[in-house]
Amino acid sequence: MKIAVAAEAYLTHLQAEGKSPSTCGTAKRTLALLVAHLGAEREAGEVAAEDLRGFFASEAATKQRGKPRAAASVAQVQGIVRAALAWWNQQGHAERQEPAKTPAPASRAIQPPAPTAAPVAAPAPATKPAPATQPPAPAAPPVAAPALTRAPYLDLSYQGQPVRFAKTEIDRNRLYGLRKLVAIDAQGRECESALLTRDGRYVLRPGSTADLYINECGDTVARHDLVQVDEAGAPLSTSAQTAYEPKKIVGPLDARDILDCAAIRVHALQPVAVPARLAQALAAGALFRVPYRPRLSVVGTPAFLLGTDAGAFLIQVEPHGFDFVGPDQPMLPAEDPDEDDLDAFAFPDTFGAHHDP
Amino acid sequence: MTRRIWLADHRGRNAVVVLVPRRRATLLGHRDAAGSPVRFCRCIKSTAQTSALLRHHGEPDALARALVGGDPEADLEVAGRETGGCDRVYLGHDGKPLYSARMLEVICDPDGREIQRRPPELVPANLVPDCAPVWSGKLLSCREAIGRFAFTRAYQVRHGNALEYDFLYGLAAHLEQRDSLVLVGSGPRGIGPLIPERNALPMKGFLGGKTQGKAYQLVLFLAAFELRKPEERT
Repeated sequence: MKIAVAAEAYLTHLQAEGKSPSTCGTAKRTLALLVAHLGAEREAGEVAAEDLRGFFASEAATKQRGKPRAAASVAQVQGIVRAALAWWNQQGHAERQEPAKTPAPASRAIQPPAPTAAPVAAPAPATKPAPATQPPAPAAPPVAAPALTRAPYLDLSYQGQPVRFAKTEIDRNRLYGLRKLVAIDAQGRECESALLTRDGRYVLRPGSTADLYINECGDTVARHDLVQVDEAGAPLSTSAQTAYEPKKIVGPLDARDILDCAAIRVHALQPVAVPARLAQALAAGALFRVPYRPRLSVVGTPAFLLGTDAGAFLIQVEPHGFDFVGPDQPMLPAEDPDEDDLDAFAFPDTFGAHHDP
Repeated sequence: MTRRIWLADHRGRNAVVVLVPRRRATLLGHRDAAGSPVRFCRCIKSTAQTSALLRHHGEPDALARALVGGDPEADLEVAGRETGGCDRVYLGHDGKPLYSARMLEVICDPDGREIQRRPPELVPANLVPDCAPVWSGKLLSCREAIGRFAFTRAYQVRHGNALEYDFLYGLAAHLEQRDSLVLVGSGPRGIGPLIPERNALPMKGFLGGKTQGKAYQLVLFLAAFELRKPEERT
C-alpha cells in the first residue's frame, strides 16, 4: 500500500476511534510531513529504520517555520509516526507483497512440514528431538527483509537468516481469568475509587493528577530528557532499544541458564518466517538468548527464546543474582519492602494483575 | 518481617528456613539535561468539581471554550498543587466519600467476562503450614520444568544456623545430582499450590539447588502460570 493511502487509512482509524479533532489534525499534519519526506508513491512496507531516522533528523521533523521545534514537539512527531507505523504493521498495510503463504494455525506455533509455505520452514515433530548426526537441514528460502516493525512482530536473525514471529503477551489473567475486589454501597451499586488529600479538602478522581519530574528551579523535566545517574551522580550509559533492528539469536543454551533469572514478561510466539534449522531446534525444546530491549535502558534486560510442546515463547527476565552461601554466610540482607507484600490484594503482582480496586 | 518456609527433604527431615527475595535493580537517580537533580512529584490537575464541569461540557475543547467565554477565576490554590499524602476512599453516587463500603470479589473468565460475585474470602499464606510438610518426591528435569511453567518469582532459601545449613546443603546436593527441580507444595502429598502471602494467587513451587565446595545455592521458584497459548484452554 502506498504510504499516502496508508496515512489516510490511519487518520480514518483515529476518527473511528473517537479521537478528538485536535488529535486527528496533529496526526494529519505530521503524517503529511512524513509523506512529503518519503514521497507519496513510496510503499509503506518499504519504510526502513534508516528512512525513519532520516525523517526524524530532517528539518521537517525538527524545525517549524525555520525555528527549532521544542523537545516535546519533536517527541510528539516521533510518537505519531511510530504509532502510525505500528498500526500499519498490525493491519498488514506495511507488509511486502509476498507469495501466498500458509497461515500459521492457531493452536501450535511449531507445525509439521508445509512444503508450499515458502517462508515458514518445516520443523521436526514436536516430541522428537533432532538427532545430533542429522544431515544439515535445507536452508529456508530467503525471506524478504522485514520492514520496520514494532509490536506485534519480533524480528530476529539466526545464522544470518531473518526470522519473524508474531508475538502476543500472555499472563495469568489471560490464561485463567481475573479476580478483583470492588466496593459497593448500601444499595449494592459499585463505587468509584478516589484519593482524598490528607487535609480532607480535595477528592481526586482517577485522571485528576499528573506525575511530573521537576528540577531544583521548579521547572518540569520531560521524561525523555531525564538522565539516569549512578550514586556519584555520573550519567549511566543508556543502551538503545532493539525494536528496529534484527536481534541475533544466541544458542542453543543449557536449560539451567534461564533458572538464574525470574521471568518478568512472557510472549507467546507464532512463526511467520522461521528457518528450518531454528524451527527444528525449537520443536526439540531448545533454549536461545535474544538481546531484546524494548525501550531505552541502563540495565540489561535479557530475554530467552524457548521452544516447548505448546509452541515457542519469548521470556523476558531479570537475573535473580543469588550467591552461593556456606556455613559462614554473611548476615542476611535487610528486608525488601517491595517484595514483602503481606497482602496480595493490596499490591499489583509482577504481571499487572491488580487486585486493589 | 522475614519470609519463611517449612521444607521437607528426601531424608524425612524438615525445617523452617528463611526465604530471601531477589534484589531488584535499584534506580539510582535522575538528573535533567543540565545535570541538575530532579525529583518526582504528583500534582493536582483537577478536582471532583472540575471533573463535573468536564462531564457537563463533554470534551476538553468545549470546556476550554466555556472557560474562555465565561471568564471564571481559576483556583490557583489547587491547580498544580502537590497532592502530598493521600488516602484511598470510595465515592457514593453523589460523588461524596462513603464512610462504609462493602467489598465484593468479582471473578472474570479469561475473556474478561464477569462470571461470579461473592464476598471475599480471607486466604491465609501456607508457606509455614500447621503440620509438618511432606516431601513430594516429584522431580522434573530442568528442561521439562522451564518448558511447562513461567517462573515469575524466585527466592533464595538460606539457613539461620548450622543444623539448617546441613539440611539445606544436603537438599541442594540431592537436586544437583539429579539435575532436577522438585515440586514443593501444600497438602498431604506436598503437591498442592503455594500461597506465598495472605490472599495471594496460588502458585506452583519448585526447588532447584546446586553446590560449590561447602557452599550451596537453593532457590525456590514460584510459577504464576503455565506456558501455553491462551486459545488452548481446556
